[in-house]
Amino acid sequence: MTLRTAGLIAGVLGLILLAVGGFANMIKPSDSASPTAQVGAAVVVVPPEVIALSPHASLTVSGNGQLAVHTARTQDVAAWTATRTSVTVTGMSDWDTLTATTSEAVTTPSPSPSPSPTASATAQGKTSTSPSSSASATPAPSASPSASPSAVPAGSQDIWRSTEQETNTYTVKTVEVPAGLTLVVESIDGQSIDSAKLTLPRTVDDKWIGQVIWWGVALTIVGLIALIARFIDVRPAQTRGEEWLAQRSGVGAGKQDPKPGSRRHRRSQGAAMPVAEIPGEPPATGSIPIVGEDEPPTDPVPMIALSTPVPAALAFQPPAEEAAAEEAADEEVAADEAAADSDATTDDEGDRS
Amino acid sequence: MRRAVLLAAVTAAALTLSACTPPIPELPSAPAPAEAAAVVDAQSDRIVAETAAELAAADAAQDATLLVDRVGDDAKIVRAAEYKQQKADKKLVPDVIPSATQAIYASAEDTWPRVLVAVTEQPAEDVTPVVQLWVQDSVDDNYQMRAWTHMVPGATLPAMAGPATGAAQLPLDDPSMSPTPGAVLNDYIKLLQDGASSPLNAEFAADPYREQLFTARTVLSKAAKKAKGTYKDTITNDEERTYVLQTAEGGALVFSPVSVVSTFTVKGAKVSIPAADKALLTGGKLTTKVVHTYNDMVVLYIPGPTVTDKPGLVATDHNLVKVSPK
Repeated sequence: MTLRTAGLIAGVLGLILLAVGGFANMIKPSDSASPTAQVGAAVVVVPPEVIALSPHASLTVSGNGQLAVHTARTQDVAAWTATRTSVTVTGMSDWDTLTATTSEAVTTPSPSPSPSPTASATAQGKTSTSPSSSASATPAPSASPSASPSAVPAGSQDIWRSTEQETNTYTVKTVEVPAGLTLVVESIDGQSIDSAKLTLPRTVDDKWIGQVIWWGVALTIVGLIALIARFIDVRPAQTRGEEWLAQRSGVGAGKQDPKPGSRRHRRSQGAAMPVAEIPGEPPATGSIPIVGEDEPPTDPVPMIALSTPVPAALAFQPPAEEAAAEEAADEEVAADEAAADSDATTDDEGDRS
Repeated sequence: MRRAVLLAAVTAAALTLSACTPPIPELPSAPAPAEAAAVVDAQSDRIVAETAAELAAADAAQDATLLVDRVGDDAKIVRAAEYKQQKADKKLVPDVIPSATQAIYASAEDTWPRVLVAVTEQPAEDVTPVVQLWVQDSVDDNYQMRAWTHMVPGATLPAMAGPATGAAQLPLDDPSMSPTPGAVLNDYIKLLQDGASSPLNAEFAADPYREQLFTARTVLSKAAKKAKGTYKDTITNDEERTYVLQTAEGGALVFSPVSVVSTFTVKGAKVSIPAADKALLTGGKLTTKVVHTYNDMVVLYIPGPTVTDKPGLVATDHNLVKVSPK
């Protein structure tokens, strides 16, 4: 198998990897999921364990009209929903679906036409045992605003830890719901809520897709080069190159003359030898090194170890006497030189005459 | 062949998808709420404020019929009597109930009825703080102030559980306490009925309520005897409307409505009552007999096992609500 064939096979493999990687990248699931539950009731209950599925999730409840949103203790919500038709979100069946259960209102026999007893009615019923209950029983009917068209949630609001109202759609981040509390969304104008959707992040294992794609790109490039090489005739260029190498090897081995004018040719002619210029006169002073005698053997005694005290006269001599002696010596040398010069002049004059 | 290729492609795609898609997260267990009490500060603030607003509106109009939602039961009856007395005597001002609280005792119950207790700031320098009792009968009912009463001078309310846990509501026959709260309450009611000579008098800490009750009983008995008549107190409590909250040290606070019916009878004479009491007169004119009805609430503190104090009264008021000739 030639190198070119291997390159072509690599290219085919690269294309396959590119196709697989691209396909996988195309069909891979998104980084977030939005499982949804269809509600169809006026009350949606989201218990704390569902809210705790992900701290980065958000819950969206969609309906039509005014929505009241409450948080409360789970046991309080259970008691509250016992007299109401409600849908409770119970978890996820897959990444697209929230599971939910519907609970119907427990009907209690009541002579009142109102679907839910009011707070005052119950309280007044208790007071009917006291002697003066007749006076306080009168205002009871006025305390039952359940049929009021105003957008106020029916019944007592005392069990709610918090309550707010939204129109049509309510969205909340799960981290903003106090831990351990149940979220209740109630349609307060009688319309049913459409859906409850939990949008939460999803960790997709797609690192291998990138690696497959990069390997595919690399192998495809190799195959492309091999393919190009298959369609281009490189033999003339190869021949010229081989001839040039053979000629250069022959010149280097001395079997052939170098090309005239080339550096190798000039070096063989010797024309390029450097010429050093040497000055005619020696420098005035200090140019002749004086080689002294061999250095005395190294004294093994430390330099600071003096055996005897140095005499004062040897340690210090007045500089005046030394200078005078040196000047006297200089004057004697000068006198000798002057005498020598005069002798030389006389000799020269005698030679001329 | 084509089918095989198609099948292989579909299988590869399915495998690719399954390789990428993580499993759905498992449902965690529900975290415990940070505040487990039935009512936390945000709720109690709202309840107290709405109660104060309703009370203020009724006070302004001196009309107890405006007390329909947040104020009821004995609180409404007592307030109505105060309005009547104020109309008869301007000096008789209804009790001032501050809206500012210094303590809130919330129930930890999951069932109903539930109670909520607030201890207000002092209404005035010479007036002790007010203890308010709200009751929620069901999940659909509002907390309603059923009674209020002033603390007994010198009394101390025990430490109670905060909103993190809430205070347990105990039944009157709670077996964890010995004697049970119901037994202690019955003993106190019997003591009120029997008077200072009762052997039960030594079982309870001294309190001005029963001292005043016994003193009035002695004085009125002597007065009736002079007129060849009689005087009798009939004291009962309503266990159905009695609530018990556990204190922090394992004791109990008992909130019980107590009815005191005082019957004063003379022979050969005609009884007369002050003008303020006349405002509460119902059932005809007084002749030889007058019946005063008081709706009181007693708050008894029963110490826990680690406290050696005697049970005692920590708050009560003596509220005249009705005067009748029979």
